[in-house]
Amino acid sequence: MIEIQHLTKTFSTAAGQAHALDDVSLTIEDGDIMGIIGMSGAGKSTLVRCINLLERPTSGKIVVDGQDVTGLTGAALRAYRRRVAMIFQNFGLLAQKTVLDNVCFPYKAASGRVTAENRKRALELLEMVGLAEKASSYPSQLSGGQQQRVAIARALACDPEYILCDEATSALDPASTNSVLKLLRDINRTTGVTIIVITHAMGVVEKICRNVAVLEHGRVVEQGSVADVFAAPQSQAAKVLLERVDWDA
Amino acid sequence: MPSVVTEFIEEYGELLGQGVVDTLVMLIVSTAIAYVIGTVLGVVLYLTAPGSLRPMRALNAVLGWVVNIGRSLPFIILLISIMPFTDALVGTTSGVRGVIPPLVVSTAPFVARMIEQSLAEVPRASVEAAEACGASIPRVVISALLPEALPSIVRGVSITLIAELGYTAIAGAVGAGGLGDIAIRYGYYRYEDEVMIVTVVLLIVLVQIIQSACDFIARKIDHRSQAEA
Repeated sequence: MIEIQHLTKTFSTAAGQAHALDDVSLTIEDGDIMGIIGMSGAGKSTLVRCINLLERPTSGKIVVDGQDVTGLTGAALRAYRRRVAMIFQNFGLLAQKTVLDNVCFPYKAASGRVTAENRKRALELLEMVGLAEKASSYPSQLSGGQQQRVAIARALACDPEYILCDEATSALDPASTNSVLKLLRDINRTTGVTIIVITHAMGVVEKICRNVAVLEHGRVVEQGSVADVFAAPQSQAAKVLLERVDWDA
Repeated sequence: MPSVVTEFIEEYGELLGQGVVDTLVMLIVSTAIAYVIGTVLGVVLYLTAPGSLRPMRALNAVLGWVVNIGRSLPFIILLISIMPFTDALVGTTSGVRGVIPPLVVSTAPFVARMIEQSLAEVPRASVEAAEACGASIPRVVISALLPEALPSIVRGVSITLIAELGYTAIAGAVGAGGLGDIAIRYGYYRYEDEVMIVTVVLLIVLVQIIQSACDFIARKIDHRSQAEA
C-alpha cells in the first residue's frame, strides 16, 4: 500500500515559486489499478516521479507498506526503486543495447552482472509481452507499441510490487494503446502487481483503472471509483476531462 | 623518369618514414592519455551540471573554469610555459617524449568538453529509466550513459585526433620531431619544396584516414538508425 501524505513540491522558477503539488494526499491499495488524471501541468507527472523519488518532495511523506521512504538515499533508495518499477512516455530504452540486454538492465543495476538465470527470466518476460523473437533486435527496429512492451518487460524484471506508468500510452496510436493497456491489465490480474497510471486521457482510465484521482493545479480535486466518477463527476476538471461540458458555452 | 622519384625516396624516404612514425606516436600516446583524463573530467562536468544527476554548482563552475583556461591557451604558449613541468615529468622538453605532456595538457580539456557534449546528447528518458531501475550513478555512467554515447564519442575522437595533428606540427617548431618538424626544417629553413609538399600530402592522407576510420567505426557501432538490420 502506498500512502501519499500531504505531499508538496515547489519549483523555483524565474517568475517565483511554482507549486507543482499542493498538499496531495492519496492512498493506493495493493493490487489496484489506480488512475491519476489531469490536464497538462496539473502536476501528475511530478506526483508519480515523487513516488519513486526521481523528484524529491518539498514536504510531505510517501509511506510504502508502513515505511516512510521519502528520505531514502544510496543503496536503500536503489533497493526501493527495484520494488517500484516505472514505464515512461518515451519508453526510455537504451538505443545501443539489444532488446534482451534492455530487459536485463535491472539485473545489471542490482548486482553489476547478468546471470544465465537472469537472461532466462528476461526471455520469459519477452515471451509474455509477445516479443521473444525480437530479443536480439535493437529498439530502433521496433514500433512504438513494441518498444513500450519491451519497457514493460524491463519493468517486470525485478518482480516489482508497483508499476508507475507515466503517460505510457500517450505517444502510441490507438491500436498500440489498446495492446499495451491490455497487457498491463493482464499483468495486474496474473501477478497482482499494483499499477499507477498517469494520463490525461479518460479513455485510458475507463479501460483499465478501478480507482481514479483527478488532479488540478497540483491538488486532488476528486477521487473515487472509476464507476462513480464517470457516472457523476463533481469537479469542473473531471467534467472537462470527460467532455461533459458544453464547449460552445 | 622514375629516377627522380627513386632519388627522392633514397634521400628522404627514411626521414619521412620516421616522421610519420613520430607523428603517429605523439598522436596516439597523447590522445590515449588525454582521453583517460578528459573522460573523467567530462563525466564529472556532465553529472554536476544544473539539473543533471548530481548537480553541484560550485564543483561544476570550478571545473568548467579550469577546462576553459586549458582551452584558451594557444598551444605554442602552453608548450613553452609548462616546460619546467614537462622536464620534471619526462626528463626532456624536446623530441617526441618532450611534447607528449603539453599535448596531453592541451587536449584533455578539449576531450572533456567533447565527452560532456556526447553525454548530453543521450536522451534524458533513457538516463532516467536507468536510474528508475535502481542503478547507482557509477552504474548509470558505465552501463548506460557511456555505451549510449559511444558512437558520438567515436566521432569526437576523429575531431580530437585531427586537431591534435595540427598541434604536433606546431610542436615541430620547437624540435618535437614528426612531420611538422620536417616541414619546418627542410621546407621552411632549407627551401626544399619537394619535402614540404610531400609532408603536406602525408598530413592530408593522415587526416583522411583518421576521419574515414572513425566514421566507419561510428556507423558500425551505432544502432540508432533503422537502416541496419
